[in-house]
Amino acid sequence: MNAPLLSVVQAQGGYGDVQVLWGVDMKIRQGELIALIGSNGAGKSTLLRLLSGLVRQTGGQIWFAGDDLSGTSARRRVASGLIHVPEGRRLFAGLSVRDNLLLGAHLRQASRAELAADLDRVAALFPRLAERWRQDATTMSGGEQQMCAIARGLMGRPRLLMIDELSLGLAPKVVDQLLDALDAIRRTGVTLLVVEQDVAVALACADRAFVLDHGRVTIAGDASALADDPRIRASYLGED
Amino acid sequence: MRGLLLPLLSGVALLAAAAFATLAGDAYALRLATTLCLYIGLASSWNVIGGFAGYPSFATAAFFGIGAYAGSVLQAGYGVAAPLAWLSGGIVAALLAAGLGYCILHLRGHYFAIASLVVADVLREVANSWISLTNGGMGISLPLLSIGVEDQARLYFWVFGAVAALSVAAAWLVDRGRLGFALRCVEQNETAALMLGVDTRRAKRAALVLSSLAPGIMGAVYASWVSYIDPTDAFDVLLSVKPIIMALLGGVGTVAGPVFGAAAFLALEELFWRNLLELHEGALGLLVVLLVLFLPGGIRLVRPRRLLAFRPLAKPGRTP
Repeated sequence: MNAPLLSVVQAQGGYGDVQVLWGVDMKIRQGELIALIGSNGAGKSTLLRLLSGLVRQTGGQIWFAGDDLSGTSARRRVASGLIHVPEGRRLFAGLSVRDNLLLGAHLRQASRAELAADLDRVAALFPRLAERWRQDATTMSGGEQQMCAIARGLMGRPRLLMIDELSLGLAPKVVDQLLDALDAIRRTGVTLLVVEQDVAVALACADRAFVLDHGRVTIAGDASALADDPRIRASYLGED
Repeated sequence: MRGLLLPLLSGVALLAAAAFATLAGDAYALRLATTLCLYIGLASSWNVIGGFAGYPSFATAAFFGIGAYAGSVLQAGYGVAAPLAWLSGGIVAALLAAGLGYCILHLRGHYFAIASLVVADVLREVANSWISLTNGGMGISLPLLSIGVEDQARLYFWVFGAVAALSVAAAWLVDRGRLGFALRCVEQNETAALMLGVDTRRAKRAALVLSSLAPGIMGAVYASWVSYIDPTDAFDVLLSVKPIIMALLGGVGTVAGPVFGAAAFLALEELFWRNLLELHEGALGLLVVLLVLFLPGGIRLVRPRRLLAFRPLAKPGRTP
């Protein structure tokens, strides 16, 4: 078995005096699609923010591609290929779709030709974006903005792409398109860690899943096995 | 081409003012032109942190005051030559800004504004109490230059003008460079900028230090110009408020905005307030309210855009 791409050992963190994560353990291998599920306030978004260096780590270790990331800057993590697509998309208003995408590549020392090739690649993945290349990114629909945010993350050439709240507030048809896109992204070798509130969707598309509860991983395993797990069915799929 | 037009226009406006002031030989006009240069320098510097980065700094008075005191103490106490003392004013202000940035740039919005506002108050009290260095409330009298009164007035105009031109040029360079790009990302959405790997902390610190240089130098030059400073004058809170109004007036976050805003503000100050001696501070407050309500983008939005092709306010910057 290969060494894991991301290895989180007893990670703790939170906001100021409020501790949210109480020792998270997680191992993700290269090329996996991982779902992170849990109820509101379980610490899913905080965990992603901790991994991308936006939340202060107060304990434990984070290993990514063989390097200890604990205490390193967000910038270094992005440069090493750990890229976060935030909840709410956070696109830059007043910038076109194309410029928003180029922003995603700003840490790379890429030539114009490389950037053009990468733009073509994400345009092939999300044809809707290519139709709106020059439009102000924040004037698009929610689904298109989510596509743009994911594409912006891809422009940074991630090894691990973390997507927060993939389908929140989006129409089912758009969610299907996004899931197809995730599948395509994964086939290019990019590892994915996806926070998804729709547990049925999450377990259907992922290889493995982690359930976060009160800042700890309480259940982990193959997605198909978890879909049949009575605890999951009772807590997250609304079954008795 | 549009990028070049703005600084060119600003430069032409400055030169025109300069030519007018020096050729006319009118002491009042010269004083106005000198004040205009001071205002342009302050507003343009504030715009780097307040406009580009969107961090509402009220620290201009602190930078100006500490520059004034550094220059005055060096000249009056240690006999340092004026030009060197003026430069030292900028350096001391930049050092203050570097330290300040380290302490308060993690705060955002109102919190940052309040934190930056109290710095001048603290420094004023220090200047009041540290009598052995600053002469306390008695203030410091500076040595006069050994040239005629008119030549002096002209000299100070050119010095203020040079510093103003440099600060506009610096803002222009920042606007076009990677730093400007990073600052506009910070202004738009700092968290998203962080997630994309923008080194926001370094960019903000650089912006604050840059925004302190011209006020520091100008504070020191101002002290020489008026040949006397005291804590109340040097750390006057209006020195923090006026540049913000000027930038708002002309257009926040643009290179040319503060230049035109400074000119418009000076015109208002002269025309209006000289006639409203009792109420001029009320007029200042009213102006701020009216600006925020009706002209959040500055006066440049009032006139036909075709005359002067300003960049839209919302444009956060170029991509690399």
